[in-house]
Amino acid sequence: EKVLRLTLQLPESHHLGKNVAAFADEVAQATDGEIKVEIYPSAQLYKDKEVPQAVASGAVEMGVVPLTQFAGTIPAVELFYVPFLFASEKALQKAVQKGSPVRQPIDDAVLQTGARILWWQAYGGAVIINNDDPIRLPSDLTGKKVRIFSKTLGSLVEAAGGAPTAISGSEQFLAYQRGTVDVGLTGVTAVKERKMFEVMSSLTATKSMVDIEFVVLINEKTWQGLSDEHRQVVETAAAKVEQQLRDQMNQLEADAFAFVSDKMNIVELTDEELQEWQKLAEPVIADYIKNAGPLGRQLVDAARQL
Amino acid sequence: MLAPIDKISDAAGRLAGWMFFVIGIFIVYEVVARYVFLSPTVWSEELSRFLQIWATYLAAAHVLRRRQLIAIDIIVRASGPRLRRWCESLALLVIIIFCLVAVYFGAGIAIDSIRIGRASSSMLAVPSWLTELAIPIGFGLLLLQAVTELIRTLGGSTDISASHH
Amino acid sequence: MAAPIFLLLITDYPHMTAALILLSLLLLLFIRVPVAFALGGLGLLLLWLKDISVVMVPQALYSAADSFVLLAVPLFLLMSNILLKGGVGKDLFNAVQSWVGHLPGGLGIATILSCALFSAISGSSVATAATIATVAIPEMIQRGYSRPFVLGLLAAGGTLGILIPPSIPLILYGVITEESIVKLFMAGVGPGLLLTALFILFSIGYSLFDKNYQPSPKATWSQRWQTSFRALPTLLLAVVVIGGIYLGVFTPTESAGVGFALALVIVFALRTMTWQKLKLAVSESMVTTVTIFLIIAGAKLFGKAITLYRIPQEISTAITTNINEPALFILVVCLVLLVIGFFLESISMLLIMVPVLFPALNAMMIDPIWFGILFVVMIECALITPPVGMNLFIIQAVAQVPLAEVLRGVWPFMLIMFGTVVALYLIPDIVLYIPFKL
Ligand code: NA
Ligand code: NA
Repeated sequence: EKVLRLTLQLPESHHLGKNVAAFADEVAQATDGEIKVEIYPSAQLYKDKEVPQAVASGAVEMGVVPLTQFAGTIPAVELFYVPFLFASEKALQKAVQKGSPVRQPIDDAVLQTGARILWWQAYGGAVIINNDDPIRLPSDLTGKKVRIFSKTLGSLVEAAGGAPTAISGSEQFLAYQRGTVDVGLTGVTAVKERKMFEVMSSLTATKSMVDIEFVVLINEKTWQGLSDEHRQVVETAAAKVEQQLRDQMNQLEADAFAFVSDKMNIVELTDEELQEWQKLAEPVIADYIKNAGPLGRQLVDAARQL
Repeated sequence: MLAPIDKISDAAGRLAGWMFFVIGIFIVYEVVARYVFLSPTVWSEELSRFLQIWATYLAAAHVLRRRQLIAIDIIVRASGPRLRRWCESLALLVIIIFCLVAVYFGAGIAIDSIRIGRASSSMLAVPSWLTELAIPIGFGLLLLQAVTELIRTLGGSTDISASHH
Repeated sequence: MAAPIFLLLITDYPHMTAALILLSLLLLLFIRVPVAFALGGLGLLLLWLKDISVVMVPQALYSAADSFVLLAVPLFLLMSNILLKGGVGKDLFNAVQSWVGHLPGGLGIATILSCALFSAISGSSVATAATIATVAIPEMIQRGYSRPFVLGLLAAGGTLGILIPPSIPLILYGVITEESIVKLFMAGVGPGLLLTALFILFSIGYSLFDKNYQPSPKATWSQRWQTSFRALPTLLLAVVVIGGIYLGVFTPTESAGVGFALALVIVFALRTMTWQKLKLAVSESMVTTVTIFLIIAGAKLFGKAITLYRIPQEISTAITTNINEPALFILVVCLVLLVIGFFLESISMLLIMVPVLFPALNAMMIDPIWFGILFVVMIECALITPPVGMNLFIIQAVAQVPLAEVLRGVWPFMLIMFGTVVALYLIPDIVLYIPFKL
């Protein structure tokens, strides 16, 4: 019996947690229990920023981590946080497919650190929430304090004349309630789960603004130590649960939108408004390419051709 | 022969104390930057954490030397000097073994980070080894101090930890 | 040879493993291995026995100190140590005494009020007890108050330091459980005031019963204004620190930083700070921080090791399958914490027990913020129960008396704390009203 310990930041009950549990079941069944995936949820073993190093060093065999946790080592992974880079949601869906010209180079670069990406986990996009008049144009952010969760989003906010402020998920509700920040960038499912509709009245739907992806890692030495047959089983299971989650995530977001639709003023951006945001994002994209080097340029070109 | 080690530990401890002081200044500067200049810094949080890691482990040897590690002495306090010395040597041995592991594997992590160019995922993208080195260096100092104290304990009689604070 | 036998044991007898680990920990603690290294060393041993990579050791050490929220610990310590060296403890006590000292049991009231006020600028019970004890004990004994009463009053009054915000244990609880530290701080206010009021009532009752003390003379208005004027900046500081957190102007860490800076301004403006005193404040804050952080690091490694042995998971399952009544659960938890509190120092108690108990809260439908406050009240008990009770030792050291004398005065306060636990259970709004409904 081979035990693969897997560290997870989120609780077991979260859909990412259920997704790895489904993977564990698949693998256990297909190998008659020869491979056992043991899940350690809620960051019992590692915080998410520690996961890349922990898996690469073999201190733990597997781990789930936001892709952008690799940003320091591989700046190009910030690609999905570069705002308004993908022309449409369809282009985005193509980009995250296994083997796509956007995803494959990232998988390869991560492998160089000693950890192999088994599959990607969809986490959804981001929306803008605030009180009073909805945010429609970049200029609506001028002089406002804005909660962000990534540095490229910070650049976008700065370009719009706002002040980006990093606030953790758990302090978010209070920050809005007490006016520590005026505007929030967050996931629509979080708006529902953390009841942010109680303190914010408007929601601007910008599904192609950013895309949040998690990746499931396995230590490369552990991977190479598996038999050919076991590797086959693991890859099949990974592909299966990846697709399951992507379908489920689309449904969850649709449900969340439906849920908050009578509690908040929901605004869809017009094409003209969207162009204003895309124009504003140009310098952020240029910045991204500067930081991420040739790989960044390659990924941006690939993203635009989708 | 042992005195220089004491001196190094004390100097590292003093340095650590002022590092915490500097962290305070960073944090206040951040608040001022946010409310007065309306432009939060990108460095204050990360540099503060960076200093905190260094300060904590740099000071460990000094705290051991000053016998201020928290320990429970209800039983040992009541026992004779012979048993006391046994217990103290044993406790130091636990510390020494722990330090050896921390130094060896901690150095391994830092070397690995240099090899693959690991850096933090924040705006500053600080090379990881700069902070990871705090573990092997801090526990290296602690190792030296613990060995020093062991030599003293076996030679004479000293307490390795304060009773309660 | 030992490793395979041990492995066999842990797979077949999980409860025995848990007992064995607990015994080993107690053994290490009793031969006086420092708490941090008893936890860390045992964690290391457990990893090695299960053939898990010990790279986890430096990873856990790094991770323990790599926390922005924890920065609040050294900063709150710097803030209160700077104020202390600037003589603020005496200023506070004098001001409070000038207003209430002449009332029946007035010095007792003044002592508790001073403890409560100092608690609003200090995150630690030990610091609170030491500060107020230094000024209050000589004064009270000189005025003929019964010694055990005085000693008990200060040992117990000092424990308010961790219930009234800021509070180092509440910061740690928030870090472990990822609950909002702002809400935890606000949740501590109600129970903190309740406990203050109960202590005051007890002092008044006691002084009506034991009339051997001489009441203090009533202070003149000019004395009152003069002493209050000196204490005022410190009180304003407390308002800024706690108010700033409550209004969302600062995070707890920032609030600690601002408090630190303002404390410096205050002591330099009052001209009570010297270079020597500042160096001492910096050095003492560093030592306390590092002793706490080393225990956090050791507990982190130990926590990971027992998690890999699935011990917290087993205990949590055992609790939820055998106990399905929240009241019974709370009762069992309190009894366990009472017993553990006899032997363990407060920070270790929190770091070891919270990860074990926390997973069961959800199944029991117990509010995690409420539970955090309950836990802190139980830590307050632990601080004044023998044989290991930090506040007992502090009072013993300050007053230079035998431990038995402190113990004779402290037990009524323990009963008051148990009463408070019952009150928190019956009326959860004492905890939850301020953070959630105000
Ligand atoms: Na306090
Ligand atoms: Na105790």
